[in-house]
Amino acid sequence: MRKIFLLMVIIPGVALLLSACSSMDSPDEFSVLKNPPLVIPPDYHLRPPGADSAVEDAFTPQQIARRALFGTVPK
Amino acid sequence: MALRRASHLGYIIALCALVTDRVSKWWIIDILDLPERGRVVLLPFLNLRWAENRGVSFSLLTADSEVGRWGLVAATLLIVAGLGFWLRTVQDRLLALAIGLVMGGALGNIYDRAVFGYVADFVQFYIGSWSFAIFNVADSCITLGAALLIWDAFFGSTSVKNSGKVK
Repeated sequence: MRKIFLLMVIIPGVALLLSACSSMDSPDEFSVLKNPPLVIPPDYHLRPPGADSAVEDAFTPQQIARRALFGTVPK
Repeated sequence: MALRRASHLGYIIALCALVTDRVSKWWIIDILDLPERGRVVLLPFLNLRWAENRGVSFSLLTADSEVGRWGLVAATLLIVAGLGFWLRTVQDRLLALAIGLVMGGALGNIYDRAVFGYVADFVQFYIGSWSFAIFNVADSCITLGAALLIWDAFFGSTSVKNSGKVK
């Protein structure tokens, strides 16, 4: 019985060590997804002027804060 | 004489397995250029699919470092050497065939690991989205040889069953 046990463990063990098959545990994303082209997003600071006077020519948080405190935006 | 003939058969089988494996990998890599194509659909359940395995079976023990790579080469070479010594004493043809298949296949994978750093795998059986591990000719030889070794252990001339009868 011990010999059978040894054979059933050692032979498959050695076979596993010697062979080299690749398992595919995750799908190949490049065969599934199409990558969209890389584009530069539009510049959101360049909105058309007008209507929104609260943020008129004050775009960054610093400018908005100065405007709220001093009423003007330094150029 | 019978002793030498059986072990000679084993060595010839090992050489045949190694050559068949090398030729199949050469054809897949250099002629078909599977690494570039990635995948060739053959049948609804069979693909040629390129995979580089840096570990052992089922991508276990994946060796990312050079130390791991050469450690695997050394360990598997040691096993092959052991099998070679065993083969010298073998008198049974089935046993010699089995050991030869395992040795030849192992050498085929060792060659890849030593020369390329990975083992080339390309046969993929699948059903729907389920796929069996991608393997190569050397893996098939090793698996067949191991199955024959187990068969021989149970039913061969020097098997557990027969040695039990003698006692």
